[in-house]
Amino acid sequence: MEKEKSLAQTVRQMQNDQNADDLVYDENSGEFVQAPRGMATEGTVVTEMTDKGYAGV
Amino acid sequence: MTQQRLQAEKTVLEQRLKPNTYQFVDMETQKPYLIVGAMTNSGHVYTLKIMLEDFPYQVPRVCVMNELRDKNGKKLGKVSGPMHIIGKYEGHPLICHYGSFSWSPDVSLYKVFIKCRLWLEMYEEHLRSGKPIDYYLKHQS
Repeated sequence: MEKEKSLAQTVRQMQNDQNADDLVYDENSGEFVQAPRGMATEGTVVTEMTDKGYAGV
Repeated sequence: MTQQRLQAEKTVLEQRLKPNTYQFVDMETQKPYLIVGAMTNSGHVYTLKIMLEDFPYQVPRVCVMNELRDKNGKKLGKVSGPMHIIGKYEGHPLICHYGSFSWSPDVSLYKVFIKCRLWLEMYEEHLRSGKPIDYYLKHQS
């Protein structure tokens, strides 16, 4: 439960340029996870899909 | 969709999704679509229908085939900016992902899936918090 709350907050903060994390989709687990910006070693970084607005990039 | 493009899409999905979680259907007809099973971080499973009639030249419509209700128990399916819903299909919500202004034929079905997967995650957050989805996923200004 806490994990999802944190994820949602991260997504919200990304769109306000208030977040230092990347949003990453981990294909192995099928989960969204967070990683310090530029530090993700696995999965697909999808930060760009949200940080300029959802129906954007 | 050309056979070449279809093969390219299949190659990407094979690399990134589990093989038994998606299927291209009716690809030789005028109403081809892709069915994808999406499991959220909390473990709930949803079925996405990605309609491919005009893909990749137009934004594909994406429908969540589950019956979705909002925090107050009201069935989702009407156009709703706050919930990023653009209409309904067979009684189920068509969800916003790419806007037509941001669409390009280069966008892969995998990226469409990721956006819809994110919508599902924020939908569940809406159920927990009561806040609309656009509280988390802002509209592009």
